[in-house]
Amino acid sequence: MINMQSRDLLVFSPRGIYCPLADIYIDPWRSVDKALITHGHSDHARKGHGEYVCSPLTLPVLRHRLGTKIRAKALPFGKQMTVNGVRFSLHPAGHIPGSAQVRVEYKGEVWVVTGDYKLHPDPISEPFESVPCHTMITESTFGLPVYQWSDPGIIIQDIHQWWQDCQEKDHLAVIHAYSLGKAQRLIAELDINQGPIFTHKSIEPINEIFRRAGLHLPPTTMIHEAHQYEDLKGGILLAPPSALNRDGLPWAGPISDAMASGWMSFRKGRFRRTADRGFALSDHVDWPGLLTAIRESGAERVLVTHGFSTPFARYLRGIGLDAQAVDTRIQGEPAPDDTPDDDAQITPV
Amino acid sequence: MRQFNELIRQLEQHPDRDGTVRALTTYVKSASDMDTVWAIALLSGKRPKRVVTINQLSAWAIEKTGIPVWLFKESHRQVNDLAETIARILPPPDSGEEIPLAEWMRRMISWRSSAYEEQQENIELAWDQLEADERYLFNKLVSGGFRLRVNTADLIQALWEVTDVPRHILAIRLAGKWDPGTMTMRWLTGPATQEEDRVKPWPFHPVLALSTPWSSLGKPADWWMEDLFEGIPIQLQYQNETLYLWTTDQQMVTHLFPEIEAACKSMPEETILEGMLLVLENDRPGPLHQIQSRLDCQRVTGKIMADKPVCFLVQDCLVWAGENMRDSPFVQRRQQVESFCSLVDTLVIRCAHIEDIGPDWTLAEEHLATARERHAVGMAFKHRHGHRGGGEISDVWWTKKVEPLMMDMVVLYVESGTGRSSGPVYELTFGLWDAGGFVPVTKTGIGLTEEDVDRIKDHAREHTLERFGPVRQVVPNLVYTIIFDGVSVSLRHKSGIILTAPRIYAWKEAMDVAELRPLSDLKKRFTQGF
Repeated sequence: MINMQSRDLLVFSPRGIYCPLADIYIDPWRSVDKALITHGHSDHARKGHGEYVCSPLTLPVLRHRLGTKIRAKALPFGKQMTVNGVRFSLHPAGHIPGSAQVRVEYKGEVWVVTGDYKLHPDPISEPFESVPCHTMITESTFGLPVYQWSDPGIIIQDIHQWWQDCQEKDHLAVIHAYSLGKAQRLIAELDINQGPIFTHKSIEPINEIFRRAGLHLPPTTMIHEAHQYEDLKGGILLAPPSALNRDGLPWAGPISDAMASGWMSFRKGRFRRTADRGFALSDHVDWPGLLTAIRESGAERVLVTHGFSTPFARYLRGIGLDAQAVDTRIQGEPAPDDTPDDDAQITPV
Repeated sequence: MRQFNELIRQLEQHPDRDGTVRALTTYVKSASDMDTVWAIALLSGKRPKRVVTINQLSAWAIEKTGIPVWLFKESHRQVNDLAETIARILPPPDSGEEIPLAEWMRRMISWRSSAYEEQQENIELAWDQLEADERYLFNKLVSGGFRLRVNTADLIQALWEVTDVPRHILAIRLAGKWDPGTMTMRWLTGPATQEEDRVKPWPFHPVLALSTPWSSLGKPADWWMEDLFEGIPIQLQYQNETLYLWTTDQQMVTHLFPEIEAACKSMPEETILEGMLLVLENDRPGPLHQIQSRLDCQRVTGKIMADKPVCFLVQDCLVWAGENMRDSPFVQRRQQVESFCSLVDTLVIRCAHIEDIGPDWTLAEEHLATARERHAVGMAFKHRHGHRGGGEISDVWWTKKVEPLMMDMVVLYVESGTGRSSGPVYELTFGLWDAGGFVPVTKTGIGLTEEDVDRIKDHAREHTLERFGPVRQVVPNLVYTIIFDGVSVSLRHKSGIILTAPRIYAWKEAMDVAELRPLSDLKKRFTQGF
């Protein structure tokens, strides 16, 4: 645990990021009474808290993932919640639909916890909002200068080209993407004129949640045991990374698979044999984005959490910011080989 | 550079042979002739000399981006490759103008003689014009670190598919000395010259495994027997005062065997011999992987020739000094082989040793039973009056392999296969006791039945100790009998040995790992000299 100043608005406690004045935690990793949740990924939204507060779109996601019995309430973007004089508000983080940054203000001092975020726009996530603050607690999943995302439009084109190659080769195209967020972003970007979109059973419920909330997603079909390989011909199947490569594939025909993740930027990532093809499409902020976000926030002090926190904080100190790396139990975007995804099982086709 | 980048991307995925050829044909069809020539040169190992070192490139990239050296190093640790670190650390390019591969190569060659400042200026300008992936290739090329190669046979196959120029002509032209800066596709794919027309491999003598009883061959006295060694079949052709060594897939491998070239200096013009190329170990025929590694060499050094000496075992004569022998019976061709070999004063070219079988098959059976002692993997049977290209039983060289060796081993690691329709579902690493623990001995997935696959799947699910990417280390208590054709020494392997053609024979259900014989036992039983 690093030495925090005693009057700090937010501190890093063994349970998570904590506001002592309001007795509220942000994305805590152990059970607490009251938790503000930035988004529904499992390393941010854990079971067992007394009360959850999150954005309106994250609420049904939490209920789906953590159970309908949790005590949870929604705080719309930009609306304030005041507890013991501390004012909390949520602001779009651009990471996945409903993902939020948390702004915390007390007597004119402003802190922002970014959660996971990205600056590149996508069709379904609310665009990242720059929130002016004094202290910023930022993620650093891709906090090295070698991580610079290409225009997502070009990557989406590449994915369509690959899908077409699969169709020509008579291979089923399988794309590995996380059930919450990445999968829906891809679905929203895919052109259904090219072929039908199939989803793994861990993805479809999230699609439904987002559709009910008014997001536009093209039609998708969830695969089930009765589906034959031939039924999927010419289509593209989205499945979480852990669902398919865990064992020998029970497919009745040839497949080509691809992985869409920021870790696919380098040859090293692409050649781990997790998939035939890697697309460097990430829902996290890249190096130039991190620097832009920090600059635009006007923060004087930056606390760097999950990712390349140590080198990134050191770099920030080098350019004159008061920056420190902080340990958390948040993983950011897991590398493809150690996916903790818990809700995916193999569905034979 | 865009098309070349796409080609490399496809080749880097380690496609199968069809995939490689498909990627190459797509490229050849779409790229300009000048680009194609350069791509062929680069992929067949004709690397241009480096302009600057990779460390120099790193220093310029650090200077250009203004990032601290420690952060560059930190990034490099993550990326694992300097050319790629530089490619990724630079800001996106500012001009989308496409400059073809041949033009980049021309520029790079011209920079070699430039002053240092000019080199830096040109390279930084190039970085601003290339996408990150293209920049990676550029960095590799400009620093002399481009090492991706494809099999010459695949290159030739692709060129043949696109241009229709006979494969052996392409092989001759690509094997010669040529400079990608001056060579043209027009020359590479032009009609064959008179000299070229005379150079070509003939169909190889058919060799088939004998699966029926000996008696199906007829009278034993009509047949000769010969030890079968692990090697590659080669046709040796001397034409236009040049030696050509052809493999069965029409690859020309002359440049890989300078010692054979030297030994054939006194060969009569217009001669074609057929035989087996072997690597010798202590003057005995060595294992197949040795000759394979000679074939994989880029440049043959004196050390390689000394470490892996080769020998051409002459088995047949197709043409002798312009005289066609192909229609003569084997006994006459064999006489020509013997008279040639008796005159050759070198150990690099030797006459294949044949023996009479006698009135019955007893001697052949005895020879087969003791073949392993002579470092042979089986026996070949050749009819005295067999003809090349005939359709009779006597026109085939029949082989019988020795019985495989067997050893019980325990599964140490399980790796999921690719899940594609071809290839094994699992690759299993098998081990044996050594110094109180298990040491990996061999890896194979061949021979698994469906029941085995289910058993291994369950085993991996319940008994995984640790995961390394796609590989699981499992509790060592699943025992299989492994069969293999031979054992040879390897210093690169932890066990100190390699098995030839290992495959899975059967599950040993009742076997306890404590009963497994140790590694030393395997070494003792199947090898000599260590």
